[in-house]
Amino acid sequence: MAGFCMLFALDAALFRTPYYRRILEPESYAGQVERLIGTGGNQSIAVLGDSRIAEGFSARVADGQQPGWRFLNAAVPGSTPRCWYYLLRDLDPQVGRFKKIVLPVDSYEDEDGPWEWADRTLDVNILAARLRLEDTLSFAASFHSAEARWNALLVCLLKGLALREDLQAFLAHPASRLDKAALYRASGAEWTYNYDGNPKNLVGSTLPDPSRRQPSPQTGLYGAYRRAWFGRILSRYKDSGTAIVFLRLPRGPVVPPVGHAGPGSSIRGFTGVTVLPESLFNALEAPEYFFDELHLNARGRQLFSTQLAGVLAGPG
Amino acid sequence: MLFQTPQFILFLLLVLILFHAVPFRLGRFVLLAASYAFYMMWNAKFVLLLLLLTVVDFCAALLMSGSVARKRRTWLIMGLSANLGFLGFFKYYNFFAASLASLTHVPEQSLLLQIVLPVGISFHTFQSISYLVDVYRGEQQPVRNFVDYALYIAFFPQLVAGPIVRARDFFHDLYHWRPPSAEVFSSGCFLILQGMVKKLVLADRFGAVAALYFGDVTAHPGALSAWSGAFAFAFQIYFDFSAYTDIAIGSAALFGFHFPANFRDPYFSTSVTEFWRRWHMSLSSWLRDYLYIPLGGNRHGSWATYRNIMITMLLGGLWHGASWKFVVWGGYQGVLLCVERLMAGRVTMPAFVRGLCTFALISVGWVFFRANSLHDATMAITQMVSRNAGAWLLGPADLLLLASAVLAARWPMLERMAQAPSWTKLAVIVCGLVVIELFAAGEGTVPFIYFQF
Repeated sequence: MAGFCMLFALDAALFRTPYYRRILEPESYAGQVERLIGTGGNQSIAVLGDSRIAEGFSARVADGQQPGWRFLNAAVPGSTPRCWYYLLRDLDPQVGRFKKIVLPVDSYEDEDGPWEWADRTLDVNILAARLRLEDTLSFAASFHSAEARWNALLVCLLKGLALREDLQAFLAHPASRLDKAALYRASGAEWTYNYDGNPKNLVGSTLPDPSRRQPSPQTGLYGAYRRAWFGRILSRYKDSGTAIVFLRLPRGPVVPPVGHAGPGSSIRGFTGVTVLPESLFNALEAPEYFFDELHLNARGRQLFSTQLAGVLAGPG
Repeated sequence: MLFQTPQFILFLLLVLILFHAVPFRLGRFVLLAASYAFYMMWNAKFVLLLLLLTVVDFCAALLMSGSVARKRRTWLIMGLSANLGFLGFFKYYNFFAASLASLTHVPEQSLLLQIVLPVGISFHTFQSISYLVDVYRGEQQPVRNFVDYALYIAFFPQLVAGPIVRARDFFHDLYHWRPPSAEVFSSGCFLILQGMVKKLVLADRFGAVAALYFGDVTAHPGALSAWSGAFAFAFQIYFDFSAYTDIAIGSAALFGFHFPANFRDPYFSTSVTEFWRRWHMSLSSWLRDYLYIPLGGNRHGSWATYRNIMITMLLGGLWHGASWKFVVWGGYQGVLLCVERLMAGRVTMPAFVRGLCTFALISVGWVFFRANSLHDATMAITQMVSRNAGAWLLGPADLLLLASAVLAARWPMLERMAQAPSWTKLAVIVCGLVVIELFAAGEGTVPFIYFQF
């Protein structure tokens, strides 16, 4: 027992203090979270999201478009609504840093996909450095399978389990890691801000027909997941003066034809939020604006950012 | 339920609490129930097979004890036939059927059956055989309590992959059972921790390198790649199997049972003969006592000795797996042992050089063991002697960890950890736990190699 207590204490000394977080591999999931949280500034609109926002939204373009507003690209590749809740907690600890928070989604319909969102173990890696001891039970319980819950529980208690690959890589090349971390601390935010996007496009490429995708069984789990995590974000910002805005992302270079009626929308059921029109970015769903099946390219980024900034800077 | 998982630790804790909470006469029921539950977590159906074999062997031994010589022999043959029959069917039917199909040019699929190998069958069969033979020889009294015998066969720390425990040792512990002293308990815990470090930090790390090479031997051409792949597997299999054994011995110690050692620094051997005295010792001694010596051992001249060595090693190879590559591996070990015997005293080399040569020869053998097929093994061996250097696959971190493991194993305090001062014990435990937490290899749970046998 004493051994486990000392293990916990050592783990906490290493990973629960700010020192190791400063030298996380800047391009790792956990490192990107740290970079984002370390980004200073007086931004008034935060756009959360995964790699589609990281690639598709430019805060610089949006700032230039709407001088009265300052935007923050708060996207972390691979992140999900569960991650966004914990990100916002550290990004905006006092609740009130932002006038608006934008939450992008694939679809307003709660349609189950091929995987179980609640059991997404990548979330553990993304949040490893940010989870607190008091999150242990609630975070672990938010997973469905016993294995995923156990894994999450262990990582909440012993962060080293999720960060060991990072630590091993650091120990293999400590000097270069320290240099890289320092470089990213000094210039990372500027690089992200000035990133122009991927110049490639898909014009002339053979693209898979999205209508051929096999439909997944509809279990209602995705709806429950979204209600849970968006619900937690909404209750955090209830009566705070921060507006929550949902938007549907441009779906891809080729869009499926309108099919069956969806299973319903938890997002449309939320009160006190702004749900942007579903078709707002339909014009961007073309091969010339994407560099792969999911991500907008530089041109798409420019247009999406301009259009989004215009919408967000408006009243409401 | 794999030994290196938190589930096993919880299971072990629960069984320990139950076992020590009741009087020993009930404790054996707890152990038996836990052992069957442990087995059923793999495959509930096969517990019936385990039970059937247990009943057959238990009855055969009892019947032997009250019979005249001829009858004793009959009961022995019946008992052995049942054990070897089941082992042969489950483990070797498809192998021989495929070989027959290829010889007779019959479509393979027409002869093959969908057979699932019951976990641990190779190990509990050998334990049963040694028990029956010992009873037949009069070296072991037949056990008259079925629960005791069933526990000998099914005791969960050794059920799946050994060590192969002799009946006399097990029943000595059972019939002279004493609660484990604080020192024994502490040694058991250290062994479990040591096993976890070996498996999670070392075996799985080297396993990843071995998988990289043997996954596709053509993808990494060159001598350095082939040798580093073989070395990686040599370290993987040692750390993996000795980890399992450490956890098995340590777990048994917590219940007051003493299992035999299975490894004694085998890669420090200076000859192949010595290697086999220090590698998987419970199997080596089993093969010696129940196969090599009954065949005549070294009592009937040189050629008979060489023949007996070859038969023993070929069957030992086949015991590991139903595949020609294991037969070749066994044959290769047999040839090495014969050549060494033939050359004894004729070649002199410094011990250090002999040690390196032995390790290299053993590593070549592991290629047959690990390769996906005999064809892949041949390709890897060819690459070992090719002029193309290729890439060395083991990284500095692998070698650093290996060196640390060797140094730690050589640390005299580790042997006497149970008597060490409390602060030393605590420091070692914390070091072990931190090493597991921060240096365990990869993601997910990698099964022990010997679980498949």
